[in-house]
Amino acid sequence: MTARSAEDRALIRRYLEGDVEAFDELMRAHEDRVFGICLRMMKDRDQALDATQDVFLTVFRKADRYKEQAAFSTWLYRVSINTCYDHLRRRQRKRTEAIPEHLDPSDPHSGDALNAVELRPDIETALAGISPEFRAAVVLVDLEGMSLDGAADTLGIPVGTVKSRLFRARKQLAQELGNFAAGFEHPREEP
Amino acid sequence: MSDHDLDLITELINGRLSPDERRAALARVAADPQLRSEYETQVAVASLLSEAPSPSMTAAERSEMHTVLRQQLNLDDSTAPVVAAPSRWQRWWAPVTGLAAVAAVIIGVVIVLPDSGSDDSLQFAAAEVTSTVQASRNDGADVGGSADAADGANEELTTTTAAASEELAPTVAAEDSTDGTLESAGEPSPEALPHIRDVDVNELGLAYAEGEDEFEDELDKSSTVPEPATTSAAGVCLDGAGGGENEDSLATVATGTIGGVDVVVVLVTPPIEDPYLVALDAATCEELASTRP
Repeated sequence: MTARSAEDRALIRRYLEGDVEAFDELMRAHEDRVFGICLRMMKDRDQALDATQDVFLTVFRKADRYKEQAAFSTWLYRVSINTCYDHLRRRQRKRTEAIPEHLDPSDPHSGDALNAVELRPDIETALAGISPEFRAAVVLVDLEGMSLDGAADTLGIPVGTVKSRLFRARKQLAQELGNFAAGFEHPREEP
Repeated sequence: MSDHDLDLITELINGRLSPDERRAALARVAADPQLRSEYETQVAVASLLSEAPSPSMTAAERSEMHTVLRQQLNLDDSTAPVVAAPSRWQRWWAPVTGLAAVAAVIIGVVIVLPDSGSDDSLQFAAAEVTSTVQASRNDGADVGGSADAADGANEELTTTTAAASEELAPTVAAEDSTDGTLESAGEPSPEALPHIRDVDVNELGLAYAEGEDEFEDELDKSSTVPEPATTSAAGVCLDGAGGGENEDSLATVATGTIGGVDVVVVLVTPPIEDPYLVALDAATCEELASTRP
């Protein structure tokens, strides 16, 4: 068990005993990472903030059901991904219900893309072009630095499925971003 | 390129290989131009992503979120945080399961008894009905009480439902054997699963997206009428999924046709979260609706 993991468990116990400071400490420890996951999943900053808030609401309301055999962060990130899936579904449904005539839904520069001011717009736009399931694998492993096993635990899928989604997601991202192989430096380790 | 090659490239990039395996993998990649090209593309994308800076909230966003969460969790008004509100699943799924189990057992009694003519069967079935109803009552009393107690009732209900399904399986086999050939009673078939006819999962999903009140209103409109399902596609969407130590446990709880679409309703029990329901298109396994928290 890592020090962070042990600390999280102690904080959850304190929170359940009514220690409000434990709430603040847990928030400080995890909120940026949860927000990062949500922003990369949702692309839109306001929606990512809404999703982040919903994640912590869910986690704190159900804190007593957290089973300590799994790391708190695994549970937290799983709730994060599932919350993002739900928000994305709602967004998709709303778009399907009312698509403004002047916007082409297939145009990646329409709608939310106009509001995207995050970091690398090319990466954000490319990420938005792949399916949420593929995006989740890339966000957890490549952007958040999670191991394949950790991502599998978080997503609740076999490691083999994570590898497959990761490979296909990167391939689609490469296509979205252009021909990487031709324009990039040699890989980190030349075979 | 095979799935094995695909895995090999991912493992090379994500460092799951021993030094010897890594050397061998690199040699294989180097010897195959297509593999090498794929590897270089994957490395380039992974590098680009891993170097992207992490986003963070502004101080104002952080402060606003803390304020809202504190209000929603009543952290400023009371010494004890608000936790353990009974989940949607606990509030409505347990009674639904209980009713389905009761009706399944009743169907089993009605169809099996003429064949068996055994008093023991009657007593066993009656005992099942009694225990199931008791479990439903217990669960109702637990709503608003401790989550542990509610979970206990849910476990009891699940066990009873499984027993009821096993009872129903040979019943359906016997019923189908109109040519006089009795099929052996084996694993419960998908056809033997209860069908929750009046729960429109599409409407349920839409209501769920709109908010908790709308969701519960929609649930209140639903009633459960167990009957044999008409599709055998129930198990298809579950093939190859779940089963591992850290994976979701999946169980088909209902099948049927909604708006002309064959639907499979799956109970997903994650290792570290509350169970939830997912309605899948039986033909494509596409998720139509879910009560995922």
